[in-house]
Amino acid sequence: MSNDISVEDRVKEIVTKYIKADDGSTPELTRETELQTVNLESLDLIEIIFEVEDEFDIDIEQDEKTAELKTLGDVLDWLTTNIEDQTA
Amino acid sequence: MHRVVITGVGTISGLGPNLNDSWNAALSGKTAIGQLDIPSIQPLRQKLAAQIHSYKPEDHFSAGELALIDRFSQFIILSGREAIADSGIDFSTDIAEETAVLTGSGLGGWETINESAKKVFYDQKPRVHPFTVPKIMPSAGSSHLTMEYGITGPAFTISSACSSSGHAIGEAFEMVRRGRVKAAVTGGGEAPLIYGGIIPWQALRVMSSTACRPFCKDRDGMILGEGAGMLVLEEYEYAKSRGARIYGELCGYGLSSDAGDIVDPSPDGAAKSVRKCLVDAQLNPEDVTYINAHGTGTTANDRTETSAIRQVFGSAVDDVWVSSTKSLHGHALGGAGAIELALTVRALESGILPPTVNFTEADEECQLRHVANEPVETKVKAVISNSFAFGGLNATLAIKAI
Repeated sequence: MSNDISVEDRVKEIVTKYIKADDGSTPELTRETELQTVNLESLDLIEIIFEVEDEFDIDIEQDEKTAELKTLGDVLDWLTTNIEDQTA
Repeated sequence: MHRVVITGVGTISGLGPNLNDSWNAALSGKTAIGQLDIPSIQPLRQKLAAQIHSYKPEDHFSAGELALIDRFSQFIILSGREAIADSGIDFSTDIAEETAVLTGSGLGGWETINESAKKVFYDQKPRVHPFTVPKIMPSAGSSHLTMEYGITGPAFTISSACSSSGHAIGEAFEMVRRGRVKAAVTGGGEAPLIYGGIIPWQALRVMSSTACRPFCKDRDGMILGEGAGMLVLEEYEYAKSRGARIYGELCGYGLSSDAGDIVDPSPDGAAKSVRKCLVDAQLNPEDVTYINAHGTGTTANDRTETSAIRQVFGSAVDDVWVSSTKSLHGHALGGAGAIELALTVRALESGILPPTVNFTEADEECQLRHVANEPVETKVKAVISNSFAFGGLNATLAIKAI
């Protein structure tokens, strides 16, 4: 873990590990990329949450907002907000 | 009742990553027992085990799969794949609906249990990996095989300590012969060679510090192993109709419980299991060429098992060959019965009996016709394989040439 990298970049690194295109390659990603199109499923999200909790030593509550996450930007913002709220 | 035949066999253990390699290692008398090499916190007193040193999970499973699949399930899946490929059965057909997947495991995902316990208690972490539960489930191996092949018949796991896979194969046999299913993928596996898994066995003081020498005067205990064995069973007519190669007929299943002691076995319980198996198989003692013994190398087991065999076989005992392949692949607990049956199938097919290695001199109370150190070539008519578990849960399986 390095402090030189921003929180968002560290989260991005974790999230992208779980993203695979149908052919197994890592697709081009933007904040607008829809989770569905990159096969990011609810079980992947559970693993991502676990890794983020572990990395930042925080607890993330899963609430109704989790179901509303549609794009990669939504996920990054939601996780980053959680991290910043708990590490501020 | 239908006749049940074995059409596919797979196994992985310290002896080798597949049946062929394991069989060749067994015949050459090359034991898989050697230095145990696992991460430990305090030095372990137990130095020996039959570990699968060459095994690399990432050669067989993706990182995503490994997050979901404990080592014991990996072994079951790999042996299952080998057995299914060996049988040539095609699960893209309707047979997938009429196939059972029954596995045995005494411990389930012990590696995962230990890892998560270490995290929670030792590292004092407040969380464990999200897939800890599905990794630990003793039935996970069965589930993964059903998913991989789209098998939709009955699937579950039997846990009866060291008889787990013996019982699983026996119950799968019952399902096929009673017509509940036409085929079964069955066996079992175990992965107990982890720091938190060795320590409880050390505490029992039943493990050898020198070698596994079942039935010998100077034996000093059992040695743990790891791995799995899986078989494909099919209803005879179905196997014949698809032109399958048939290894032999699974023809008898005996089982009993000692109702005695949680660790000390009873000769009567073991004898009852063997006798019931022979009756079920309609075999006379003199029909049996070879017994693959439970033969752990502990004083309690070896004397009890010898006494049971002598009780059941009577005067025919002088003619029946006996060996314990645990001297080669160690004791893989819930997977032991299946690994041993895999080798026993090969013995029936080839007419070569695998030896008890490290054999010195038979204990006075373990006098049997031992296959000592060297394989024996003979005409094999029928064979039986014993599994006797802690808690007195016994299973015996019989196979005969077809």
